[in-house]
Amino acid sequence: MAAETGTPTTLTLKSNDDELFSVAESAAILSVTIRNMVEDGCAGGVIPLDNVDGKTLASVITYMNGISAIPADEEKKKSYRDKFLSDKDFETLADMVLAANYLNMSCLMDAVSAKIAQVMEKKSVGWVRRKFGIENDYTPEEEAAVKEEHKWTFEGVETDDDN
Amino acid sequence: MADTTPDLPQEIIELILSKLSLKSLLQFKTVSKSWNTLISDPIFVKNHHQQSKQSNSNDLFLHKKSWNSSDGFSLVRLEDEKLRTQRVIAPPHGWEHVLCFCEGLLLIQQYGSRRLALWNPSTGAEKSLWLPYNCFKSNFGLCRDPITDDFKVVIASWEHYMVYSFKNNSWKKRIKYECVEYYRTQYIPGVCVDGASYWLWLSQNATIIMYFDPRDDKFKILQKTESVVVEGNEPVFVAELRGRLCVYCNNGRDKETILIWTKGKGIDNNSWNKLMNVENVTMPILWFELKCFIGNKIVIRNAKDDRLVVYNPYEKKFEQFEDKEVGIGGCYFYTPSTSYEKSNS
Repeated sequence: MAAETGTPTTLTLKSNDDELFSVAESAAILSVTIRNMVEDGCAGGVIPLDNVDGKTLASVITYMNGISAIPADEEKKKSYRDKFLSDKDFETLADMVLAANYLNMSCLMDAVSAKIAQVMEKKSVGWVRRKFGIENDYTPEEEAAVKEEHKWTFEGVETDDDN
Repeated sequence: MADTTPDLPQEIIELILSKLSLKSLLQFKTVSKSWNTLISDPIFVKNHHQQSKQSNSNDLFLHKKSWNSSDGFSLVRLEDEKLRTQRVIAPPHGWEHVLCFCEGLLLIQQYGSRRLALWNPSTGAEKSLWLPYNCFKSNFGLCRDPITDDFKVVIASWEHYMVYSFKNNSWKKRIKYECVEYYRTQYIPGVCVDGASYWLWLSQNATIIMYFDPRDDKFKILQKTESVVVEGNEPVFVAELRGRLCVYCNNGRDKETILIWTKGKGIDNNSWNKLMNVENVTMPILWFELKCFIGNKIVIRNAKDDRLVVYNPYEKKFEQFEDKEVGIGGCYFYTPSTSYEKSNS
């Protein structure tokens, strides 16, 4: 890494819809995928990220800059993550967890999947099927039997027709 | 907008589901057959239980009872300084005598009889067993062999101990201790961590920590490292916090300070770290029972009056629980789990 040059190194990242982003190397290497490229000396020109679109990459870079500006204080980092994710909808979170997986950023992955789980709490089974694109492969009888077994868990859940 | 949701790979779905509360998790078994299979998978169950133990907001299980009447068992959630009851659960056959607990399961007894049951209050699954003889004045421990996932009951008596394996449905009786001559503990249940059961053992010179290792059915002495410094003959206590074994004692003569250390994860991991010093303690350590974390605060039960208090390590002070009714006579806290489903019991 170019730490000894004194001036911060900037990397250029390219999304799969051909948007270019400049980001400080010190922030970008939060991604193990990018860090490996830098360490292997493959980060000279533009780094193509074929699995991430521009909108999601912009968001991830905001996160990289934000979190790397915080000194080693787990409490502050956690509250930054909470705030960063607080206004994101399910689709954005799903894109982000995929990007975090591809970029190998375990802290972001953990935070986003916890946020998705939090969004899912109190949501109906129908909502989960729609959002995850899952087909109901139970027969009505089978479904009723599984539901009956854990009847109490359906208390206080949102009704099925909301989004 | 639903059609814009990307397909998430299985491992990400697993990660997300492992962070759900128990209630939502059980509910989402209805989503599809493959989700049901995943949520019932023993490895997933283990991961979820581990996650719940480490996470900050917890579903917890609590047993409330008074001397003459019982409020039964309830699944509660700790939020801020309030206990919210999610569900009240009746134990099978009305048995309310809890011997010990491990990984979301309780070992209960029909009071005064030889009949026991391993019970998962979250799913309602139970499995019964008979004691070979009356075991008054014995120490009960419940373990889970981390290799075979077999639940085991261990009963320590004066000169011998016996082990019940749920997988084999049989007892191994009258086993001699190898590392000590006699059993010397108070009649308290073993603390289950990493599948093993830990006890304080009172020997002539010092307090040692013994554990039952379910992998080879042997009692062993837990070696403490230099990082755990106990002054003089201060009594030492064990507890479980966030899935780790904890040891705590007074700071020498300073009875207002309690030092807590935690052991690394895994039965064979013997690295110890200081967790914190609890300061401004007003109760004798004998009454001080570490229960669990809420956020960064620790829930402590005062065994004398059976009240719960919360310790805030940043402000170094104790806060009262809003629910003043908690635990008249006795309460247990543990993280529930989906293990031992009805289908595979």
